[in-house]
Amino acid sequence: MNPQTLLLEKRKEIVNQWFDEVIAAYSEDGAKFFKKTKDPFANPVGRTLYRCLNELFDEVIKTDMDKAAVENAIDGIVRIQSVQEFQPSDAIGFIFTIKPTISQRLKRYGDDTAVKKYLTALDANIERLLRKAFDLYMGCRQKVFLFRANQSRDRVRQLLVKKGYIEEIPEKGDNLEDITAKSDNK
Amino acid sequence: MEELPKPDEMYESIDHTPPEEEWEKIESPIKRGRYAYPAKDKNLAIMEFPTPGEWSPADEEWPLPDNWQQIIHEGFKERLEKYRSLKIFMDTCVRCGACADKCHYFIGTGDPKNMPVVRAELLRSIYRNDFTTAGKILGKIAGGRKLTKEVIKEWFAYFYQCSECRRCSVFCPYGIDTAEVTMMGRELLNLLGLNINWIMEPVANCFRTGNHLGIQPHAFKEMVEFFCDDIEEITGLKLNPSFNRKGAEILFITPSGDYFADPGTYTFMGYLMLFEALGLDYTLSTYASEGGNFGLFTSSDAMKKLNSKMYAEAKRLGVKWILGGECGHMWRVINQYMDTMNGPADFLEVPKSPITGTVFDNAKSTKMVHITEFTADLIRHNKLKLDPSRNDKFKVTYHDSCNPARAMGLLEEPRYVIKNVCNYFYEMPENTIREKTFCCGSGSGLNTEEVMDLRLRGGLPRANAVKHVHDKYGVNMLACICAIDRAAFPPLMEYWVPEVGTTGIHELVANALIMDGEKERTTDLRFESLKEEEDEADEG
Repeated sequence: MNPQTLLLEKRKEIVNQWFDEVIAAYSEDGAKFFKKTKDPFANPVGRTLYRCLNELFDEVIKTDMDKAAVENAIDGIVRIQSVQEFQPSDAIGFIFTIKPTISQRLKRYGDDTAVKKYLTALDANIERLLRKAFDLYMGCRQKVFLFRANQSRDRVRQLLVKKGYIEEIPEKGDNLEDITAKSDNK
Repeated sequence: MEELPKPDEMYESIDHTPPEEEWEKIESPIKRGRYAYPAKDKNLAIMEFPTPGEWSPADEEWPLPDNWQQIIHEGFKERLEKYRSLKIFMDTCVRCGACADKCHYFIGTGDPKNMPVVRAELLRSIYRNDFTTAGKILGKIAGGRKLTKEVIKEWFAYFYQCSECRRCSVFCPYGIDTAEVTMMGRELLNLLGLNINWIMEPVANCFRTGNHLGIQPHAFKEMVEFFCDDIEEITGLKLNPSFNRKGAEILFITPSGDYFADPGTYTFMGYLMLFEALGLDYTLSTYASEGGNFGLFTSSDAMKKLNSKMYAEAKRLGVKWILGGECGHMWRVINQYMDTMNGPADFLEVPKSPITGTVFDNAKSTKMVHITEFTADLIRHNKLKLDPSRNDKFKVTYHDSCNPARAMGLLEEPRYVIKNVCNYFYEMPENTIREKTFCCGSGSGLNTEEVMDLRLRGGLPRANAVKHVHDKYGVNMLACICAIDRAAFPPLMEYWVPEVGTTGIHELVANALIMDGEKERTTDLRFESLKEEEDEADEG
């Protein structure tokens, strides 16, 4: 009995349950909309979450996960949830919910050595996902803060530069040599 | 227009099942990151709005005057009498739900109070309670609710989570203009001095100095001259645009975002180059140095004051008509409100292109022509020499900026221009463009950094459609005709689709434009090589 085959047979059911648990974090009306509307352009949140959970499921049940595929799938979810006012632990919380869902499916084979071994490997996979999700979440938040800081800085700075009130050291060209020459002469 | 459902279909679409939870009971926490900073007294005072002093939306107790309920009631009454549209919008909604899932803020958040129907209900419930017989007698049973301080907080939270883009209105079978509901909500909040600084400061600066940032006349002139220096470096041609020149045929007005922030600045350079190539008899104004009108996001009085400056300047200079740049909400003000506020502008002439002879009858009353109409007409009459291959490194898609698309129906002209100046153009999916276009997520004065999260999640539906054409066709440039778009898209794209840049249409026009006497171009307006490979080779 191969646990991976068993899980693949129940793929749709498991992912749907996982998806339901993820969207339960939203308001009732929001969750209903995210689930019901199938057009990806009318419902980018729901469809992206669903697609990425599917992709992530395919990886997490493998013994050898594809790094790029994992990153891509987690990024899709975390990028959305990190700008939706979730607590950091909640924004990466979708990773926690897959473990009980899978364990539940394999419960009745709990005594099987192969299943036991598989579940240990699954734990290691989930840990890897968590680390990746944390990094990606922080990357997203850093980007948001960077945008805020840049907007605040650039609003006036561009004006000052353009009006010549600020003379910055040029990137390249003659001026740079002039400046260097000047400071050498001092 | 969306195809209207037949009466039977509409009736059947009405969901009579009451929601499991009453929307009034859903909490609306006011928390940091969700609200924009409040307006400063100095900016309110100059516009003669009430000044509440220093406060924060996070405060438990807001600085409301003792008679705040009376102020809101009387303000509401006055507006119901003044605007028949408001009364109709308050009475007509049958809660069919057609608008519910069309708002980008709802799509991005799942927050039910961001459904346009519920957002309007925030105001409508007070209307029912205070102004309808059924509501006065039956109260809650008739959908009414009492005006409390919590309601005021809720208004502030959600009327400043609406970008007045009017996408929802396209789907409303009754044509309820939810943006106008938001406008009324904001007007009422203004009566208590509750506004946001990102809106009020530009309004005050525009009123006093002439533009959103308070850029003074000499600085404006120097900045335009700086653009001319850049243009000379790129084309070898020396441009000498005039300022405040009496007797010019045309007054050109564009949003200040086009001359103080990249990438809008390249669009401004594009205008200058186009006018030079045509030998157009036009002038810029240091007084009407702002096309944007944040008054629209404040109150009709503020909007009227700011709009009147453009026409006062046109009159003072004695021009024949006004040409307007790539701005978004300016066109809603011009097309839908100017005529009854400050019009008709009968001291001006019906705009006629001096190059093609085309008379712009659509602007017969406002006397103001959109630059993409003007340029499309030039191209149609073969008046421009163009080399679209200069834009070959760009695979372009077009974002229909909300107000030009929905408030003036400007759908074909921008596409016509782009297709004539670029060889690679790809449309986004049908339900995300034209009149169904998605907002950038930062419109109506929400383009401020403290609500960056809100802007990013609200802009997701637009970015998601851009990502689709990026993945499918390799699109790497998003064109638009709105200065707020040009400011909002760079971070939005960098977050969701980092490979896509932002441009105004006239930047693309000027790249392709062959000007008499110009030297061979080696770079585009951004001083980047005309071909992608050369950029990469340079870096290598």
